[in-house]
Amino acid sequence: MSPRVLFSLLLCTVPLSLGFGLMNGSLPLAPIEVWHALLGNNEDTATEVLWQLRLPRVLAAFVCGGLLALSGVLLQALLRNPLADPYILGISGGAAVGALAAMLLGAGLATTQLSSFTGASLAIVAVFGLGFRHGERNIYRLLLTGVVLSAGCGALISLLLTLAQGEQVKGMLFWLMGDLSHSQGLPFAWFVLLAVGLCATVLSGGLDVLAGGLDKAAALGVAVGRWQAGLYFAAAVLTVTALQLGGSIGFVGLMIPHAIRLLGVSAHRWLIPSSILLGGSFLVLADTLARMVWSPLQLPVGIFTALLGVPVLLWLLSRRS
Amino acid sequence: MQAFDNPVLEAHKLTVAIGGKMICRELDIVIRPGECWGVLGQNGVGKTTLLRTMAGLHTSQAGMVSWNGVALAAHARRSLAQHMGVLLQNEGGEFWGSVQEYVLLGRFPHRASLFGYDAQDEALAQQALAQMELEGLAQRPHNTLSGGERQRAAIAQALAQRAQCYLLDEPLQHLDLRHQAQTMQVFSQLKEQGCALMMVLHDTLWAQRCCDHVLLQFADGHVLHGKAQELLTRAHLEALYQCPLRELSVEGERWFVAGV
Repeated sequence: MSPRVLFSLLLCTVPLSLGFGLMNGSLPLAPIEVWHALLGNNEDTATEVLWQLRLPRVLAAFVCGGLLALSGVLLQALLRNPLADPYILGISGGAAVGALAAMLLGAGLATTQLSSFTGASLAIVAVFGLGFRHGERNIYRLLLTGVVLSAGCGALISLLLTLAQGEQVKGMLFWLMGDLSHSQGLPFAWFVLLAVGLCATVLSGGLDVLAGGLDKAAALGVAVGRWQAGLYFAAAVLTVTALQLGGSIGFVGLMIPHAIRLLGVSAHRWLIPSSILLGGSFLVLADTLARMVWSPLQLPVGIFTALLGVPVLLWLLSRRS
Repeated sequence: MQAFDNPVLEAHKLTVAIGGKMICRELDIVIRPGECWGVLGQNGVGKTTLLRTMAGLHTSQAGMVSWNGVALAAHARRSLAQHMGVLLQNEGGEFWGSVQEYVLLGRFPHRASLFGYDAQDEALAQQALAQMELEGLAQRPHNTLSGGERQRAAIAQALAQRAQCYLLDEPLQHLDLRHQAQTMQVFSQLKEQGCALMMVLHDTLWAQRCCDHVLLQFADGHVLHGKAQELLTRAHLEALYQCPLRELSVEGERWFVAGV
């Protein structure tokens, strides 16, 4: 599929997914009701639900999906590893330990957010400090450091889960599986997504070169060390922002870039914006289903990203061969 | 014509080692425009490492490499890449796009705009594709190419770079006879246009035909370099490859064949 066609199609899915998200939930609304509630200033329930709950929720889902997908694209280019995802370098592990420890101590939402942010920041600094050597064109040290740190965090997470009681465990599981019901800092997240997305698209030529091999990139005039450090921190900022918004929502960051590539687009100039759009729409869809299926109970969105994404990706993979 | 004779790439007292193995000690070489240097030696003797050092991709223990009289390290990577093309033996990465997009990456150091490649870049990439007979494969995904096709695409990418100096690590690997001849012809044309070349070769015949200078790397870290005609003798090559060679003379060319 030509990149322009795919991008246009994805652009069209954005209003569709957002509309779907706005219409559905424990109080289903018809399209016309959504329309009136968005435009009018009536003070009925529909307007209130829409403005207070649904709109922030779908916007949070969209930006979170975009952040994760973009982070995945950048990390796959940095690590030149198709298995790279936003969580591979231990950032989510650090954030999870921070968040769960705060929950165990009975902290409120704000403290939990701060604690998870601190955990993520420590992980980012530790992995960079231990794993990155300037001038060394081998990125495996960084990858391994991240993976090892993730494993360590995994053990701490298990410990925290074991120590937790009753209701606490449920809150922790929701955080670990990803949950968009407590999203905060929406304008900041949009700012991060747009700023990093724009920079990455502008610099996409260098990403194409970098993905083709590090010596090759250096021979073609890319200052490899600086690019690697820049990519690492850009991906880290994206990931932390997404984690603060929705916990560790899996699958999006790994699979969205691959889905776009399987559809025939691999030049980063198109891969980046296409991944952001698909990641955003996809997460809105998954989150809406998480709210609908067991309504009024809300399920962790991470369940649906995998349930929806796995069959589609398996189909794309088999179609290609 | 004075400027034409100024050295482009020089090694000054260059000492290179890798993993504790000495590759060369206090090596001095001067490569001028229009010269073609062949690098020969046994497997594992450090030909690739020497070439990568000359390209600024490997750090030397002592001494330095200079480009136009200025140390490589003092040049920005991008400005260096506008003048120097490097063909690697192993690129260590998989390119996900089409062959055409791959070749277009050779224009990366010359890009005028951040946003993409202009018509001239496209035209030069197209020309490079044609030079390596890859027009028919232009739209194929690069990772579906065969080894030889991949090698030709890599050479086309280097050609699209329009460099004044090329460092080529085994440019003939994976190529069939026809494409070996065609590739060497392209390099000979570059040389005639005043381009400086340094290439790792395993075929002494191509070294004789195309190289005016050779650099022989011996297993003990000893290096001999000089005029090709003087160094490409049976005695030198037997010492270099540590095996008996037969010398045949075919239509005025010396062929060296291994074994008895």
